[in-house]
Amino acid sequence: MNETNGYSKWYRHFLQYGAVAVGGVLGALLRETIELITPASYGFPVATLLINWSGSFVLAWFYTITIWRFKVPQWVRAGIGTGVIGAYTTFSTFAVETNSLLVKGQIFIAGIYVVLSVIGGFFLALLATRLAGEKEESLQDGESSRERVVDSFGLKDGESIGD
Amino acid sequence: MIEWTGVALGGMLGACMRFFITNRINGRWNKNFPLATFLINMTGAFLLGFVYAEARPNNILDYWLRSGAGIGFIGAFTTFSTWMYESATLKDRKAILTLLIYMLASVVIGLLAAWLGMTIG
Repeated sequence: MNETNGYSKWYRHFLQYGAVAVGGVLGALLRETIELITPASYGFPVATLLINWSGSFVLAWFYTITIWRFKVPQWVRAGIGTGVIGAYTTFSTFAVETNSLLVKGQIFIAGIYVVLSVIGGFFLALLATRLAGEKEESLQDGESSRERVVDSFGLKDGESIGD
Repeated sequence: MIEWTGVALGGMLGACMRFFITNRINGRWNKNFPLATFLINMTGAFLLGFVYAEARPNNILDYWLRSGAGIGFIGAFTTFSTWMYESATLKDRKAILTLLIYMLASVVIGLLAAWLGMTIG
């Protein structure tokens, strides 16, 4: 069980965590750059909204297209998906910003921010999976996204990704 | 420069920590509900609320804490895009109840967790 796809388990760990580490640096720096260059708009967190929207779209597109059309090594998937885009988007800032608006009594703006972020992000992600070639019929009942990933990379059943 | 170094190092650690926890939980959890991302986001919302309340940028240590731990580590540890991708996947698999629970629980518990962190901090 030490050999999968010709690589030792240790080597796969090394590649995947290395890719996630490099990706995490890039994603976090990109997020902070956009936070700093986006002009403030009457207290509305427009920078985080744009970051989370764009990240939701790109992640869904990337994860889907690498299942169906372009099979890339698992460390590339982890580095770009989990690393760059995962670190680029952020849930914690979204939650803290919404709380800050609520504390300041800007309940209407907080509500708009939550609805735009969640509903917008969801439909952007859904749209991206369609553009990347996903069809509703292609998903079998009870099949998890993780199983699809495991399947598409030829990992053995029960072997967790990058583990 | 201090801020960018903090964001870069924090981002590296935060992304690796999320990858590690997701792999650990996914190896044991076989339900539809995306437990790993949910737990990561709730924990991160609480921690960021705490750090932001605690670290007013008055001195150099707080500046480091805010950029390195807050923007870098916790910002990269939590993820919005995975939440949305998993939600889209749940919709495609017609697991609508799980989708609604995941969406609502993330928003409500996430906001409460951030509020709790800000209050304690």
